[in-house]
This record gives sequence, structure tokens and C-alpha cells, in this order.
Amino acid sequence: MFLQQVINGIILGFIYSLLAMGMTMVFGITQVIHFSHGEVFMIGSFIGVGAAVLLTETGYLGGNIFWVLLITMALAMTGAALLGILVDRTCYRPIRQSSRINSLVSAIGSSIFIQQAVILTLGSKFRIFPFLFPKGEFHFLESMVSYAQLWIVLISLFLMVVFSLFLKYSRLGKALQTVAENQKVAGLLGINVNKFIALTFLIVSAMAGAAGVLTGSYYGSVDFFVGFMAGLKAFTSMVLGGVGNVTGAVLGGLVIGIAETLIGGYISNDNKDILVFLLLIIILVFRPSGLLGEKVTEKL
Amino acid sequence: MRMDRPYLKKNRFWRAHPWLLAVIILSLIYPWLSPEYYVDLAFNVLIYVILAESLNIIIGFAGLLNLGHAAFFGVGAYTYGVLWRFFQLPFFFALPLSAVFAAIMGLLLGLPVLRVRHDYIAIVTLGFGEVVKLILNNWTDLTDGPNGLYGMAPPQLWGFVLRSRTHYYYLALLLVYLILFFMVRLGHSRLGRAWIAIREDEVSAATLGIRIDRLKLLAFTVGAGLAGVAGCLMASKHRFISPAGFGFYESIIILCMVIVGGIGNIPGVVLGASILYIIPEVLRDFSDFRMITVGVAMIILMIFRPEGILGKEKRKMIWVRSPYS
Repeated sequence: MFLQQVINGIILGFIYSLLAMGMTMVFGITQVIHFSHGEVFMIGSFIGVGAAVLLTETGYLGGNIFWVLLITMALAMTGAALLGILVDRTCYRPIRQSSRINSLVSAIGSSIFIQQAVILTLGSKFRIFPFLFPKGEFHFLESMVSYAQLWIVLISLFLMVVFSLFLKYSRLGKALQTVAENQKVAGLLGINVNKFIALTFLIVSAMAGAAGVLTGSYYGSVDFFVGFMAGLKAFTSMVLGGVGNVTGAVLGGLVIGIAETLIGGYISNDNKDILVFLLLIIILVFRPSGLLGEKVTEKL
Repeated sequence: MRMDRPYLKKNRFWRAHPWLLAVIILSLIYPWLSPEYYVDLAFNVLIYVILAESLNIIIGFAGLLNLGHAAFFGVGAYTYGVLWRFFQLPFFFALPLSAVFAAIMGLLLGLPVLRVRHDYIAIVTLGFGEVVKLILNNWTDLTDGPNGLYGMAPPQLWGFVLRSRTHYYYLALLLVYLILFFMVRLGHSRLGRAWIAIREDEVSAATLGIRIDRLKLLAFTVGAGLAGVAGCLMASKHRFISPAGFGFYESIIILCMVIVGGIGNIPGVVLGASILYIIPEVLRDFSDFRMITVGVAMIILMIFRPEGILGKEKRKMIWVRSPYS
């Protein structure tokens, strides 16, 4: 039972991690709390619904579930990536030089805008997301792991590993790190800072879109509000792991996901969010810069 | 302060601030000028003015980002609601209690905030706001949960019953002017200047002998107390409160009012609160489009008037780091 809860928590945690990684990347590079990241995730989910319904109902691919999932994810990731770049171009880039709180307001504005645009065009009812994973499950130490859960973990891990390798070893990734370290110097070294920030948004939004398809298909439904709570939890995970720290974001996401399912399973499902946030506050009080955050000494 | 500003002499003050006089006169005769419905609207604007100004103490003066301000609003409203439910406590007794209870909550939130810095303050306050909302929602024995509380009797003062919209409007107006006067004086006082010093540079402030921890707690306490007043007033006017009105979304709107008006700018925040409350109301006929308009307005405003509508040119906050640092 305990292990089962932990496994369910890990699934949720990986979804949060995918989002938190993106938020923490954006924060590391632009110092913006990317509040509409949850909305990008939601749009990815909606594109996924459209694509998946179309592909399964027309039977275009002969019902081959693997290809359906692949194409759905590709479409959702592309759409989300475009949206992410658009948000950066319209809401963040014009105010890159002003203070952080201005970009926070702009981010909240874009989040409201996207949510309302979805309500206006698609309505506020939820959509049923087709199940795109192979059916069935296997047993693992007295607990059940469905293939869907396995797939979610594998796909998330794959995306995370590819992303980390890209960041660490590729030329573009190194340039991106330079931009995160110091934008001015990066600009002097001939790196086009705005293009690289757009690239960041492209990558993290694509990951959010992928997360949207995975969650949508796993839980079976999508509505305009899914992005809000997911974004909030991702933000929480990011802060918990240590702002700007990619590994920390993954860890934070897993901690939040597992804590949420365990508290929901053992203590009280109604009060789980209270306890999650209280846990968060307590952790932050004792580790003020997050789990993996560096201890920042006050500059004088 | 007064020495170097001779125009602040009593009889020249109004000549130096003609717009202020105009606003005061207009607000006093407003109920005669407008239809009943718009008096209601004006009352709600005044509530949000109190809320935005109370947040302005925390963010604008002391420089502490608070993403859970609606929690204090909720605590104030529910203090009155619960006291009415169990003891039928009259409004004018509940009002100070609401303020005190909300202030205590502010103190409680201030304690963990002292330990954390910068962006983490945002998450701690956000978490606190969610916790309070969920407690209001789930502690059904006390708050009757999502059903909310209703049926509070109209306030009574020495036999005079405040019943109509206009009565409530004047009560709110009185409180708003008291609070605004208090805030303006606070801004010029020793305490206000100490807060601004903390906002601008914590270390220098400490070097000058300002007790940072104590003053930060005080900022939270005072801000929360004022928000509690707004909550109690709102509960009494609408005679209905439910946890849904005190969530994260509400906190964000209040925060946006402060930022739109210009952080730390007292008249600006009044204007910001009015605009952000009135836009959605004016667009009520296009109700589908009103929130989307607010979203677009927020983005456009941040691009073209980053310091707020009445903002001063340069305003640095302690938790803001330049992208080129």
C-alpha cells in the first residue's frame, strides 16, 4: 500500500518536475517567474486532445497506439513551443530591462489571457482525453505498476536526460549557460541573447506540452483550469528545489508529488493541499534557499 | 519634514492640491449623482482601495512581496461571520476584533517570512494564502464550509441602523479617508522612513540601527489588520461570505492593483484599485470578454507604464535584481 502510494506519487512528481525544470530554466536565464507555464502545459494538453481524438477516431494510423502517441506528442510539443515563444516575445521581451515584479504582473496577465482565450474558443467544459498508453500492468514488490505509469516515467526521464545532456555538452547549451550566467558578457561574446532566450522558451514549452499530453492521457480529462494548479505546484517545486537549479527542480517536483499522494492517501484527501503547503513552509524555514539551493551570502 | 515645505501651511495646502479637493468633494456628493447600482459599485471599489493600500504597506513600504493577501481579507470577514454565527456580535464590536485577529494572522505569517529571503517570500505567502482558504473551506464546524455564512444584521450605531447602500458607502468612505490619512502620515514618519530604508537596502538599514525583524513583523501586522477591516466591512455589506472569495486569484488581483497604481505610491494605488475593479464591471455586458481584457490591460500597462499609472520614475525594490547584475 505504502509503496503503491509512493509509485503514484512518483508519476505525479515527474509531471511536476517536467514543468518545474522549465520554470527554473526560464528563471535562471531571465529572472522572470514564468507564471503562464501552467497555461502552456494546458494548451499542450488541449492540442493533444484534438490530435488524439482525430487520430483514434479516424483510425488513420490503423489504431497503432505507439504512432498515435508519438504524433500527438509531437504536435502538442510543437504547439506549446510556439506558444511559449509567443509569450516571451509579447509579454517578457518588451520589459526585459525593468524590474522583476513588472514581469511577474505581465506573466500573470498572460496567464489570465490564455485561460480566458481557451474558455472563449473551446468553452469551459472538460474534454475526455483518449487513453494512449498500452493497457495492462505488472507487479513489482506487491504493488501494481501499469504500463501507462511506466511510459510516463520513461518518457519524462528521456526528456530530462536529453535536456540535461544538451545543456551540459552541446555548443548551444553552453551558450545558454553563458547567457544565464551574465547576459551582458554573453552579448559581448557575440551571443544573441534574445534568440537564446527564445530558444529556452522553445525547449521548456515543448517539455510542458509533452507533460500536458502525458497527464491528460493518464488522468483522462482536460479542462481550462488544469494549468493553474499544475503551474502553482511546479512553482512550488521549483522554489523547494532551489531557484535556478535544474536538478533541484526535479527533486522538488518528486518531493511535492510524493508528499501530495502520501498525505492524500494516509491523512486526509480534503486537507492534502493544506499539509503540502505547510510542509513547504516548514522546509523553507529550515532550509531558506531550497533543498539544493546554494547558500547565498549577502553581498555588501 | 514640515520645515522645508512651507506650502504645507494650512491655508495653502488645498491650493497646492486642487485635484485632491476635487476628489474629496466628488466622493462626498457621489451618492446624489449616480444611480443606486453605481453606489454599490463605488462601495466595492472602496473595499478594494483599503485592501490595495493595506498591501501597499507590506509591499510598497517594507518591500516584502505578499502573494497571499486575500487570506487576511478572509480572516477579517470570517471573524465577523463566525462571531455573528455563534454570538450575534454586532458589527461595531466585531470590526476591531476583525482587525486584531487579522493582524495576529499577519504576525504569524511574518515569523516564517523573516527566515526566508527574496523569491521564497513569494512562495511562503502564497502557501499561507492557500492554507487559510482551505481551512475556511474545510473546517465546517466553524465556518460552514463552502456554503458560506450569511444573514449578518445591519450595523447599528446609537439606535441608527445603517441599512441603505448610501449609508454603507459613507461608512466605507470614512474608513478609506482615515486609512489614507494614516498612510500618508505613516510614510513621512520615523517608522515609514525606516520601512523604506529596509526596502531599499536591508544591510544599510541594519547598520543605521533599524531593527529589521521587528519592523518587518510590524509591516505584516499593520497591513493584515487593515485588510481585516476591509473583510469585516465587506461581510457586513454583502451579508454573505464564502471561502471562494478569498483565494489565490483574489490575492493576485489585489497585488496587480498595487503594481498597476505604482508600488509605494498612495494616490496611485487608489487609482489602480479603482481601474482594475471598474474595468470588469463596465464590461459586464460583454461578460465573456472582461477577464481577457484585464489580462491584456495588465500586459500593456507593464510594457508602457512599468512604474504604474502614477509611478515615480525610479523605484528599486530590495528583492529585485537587475538582469545584468
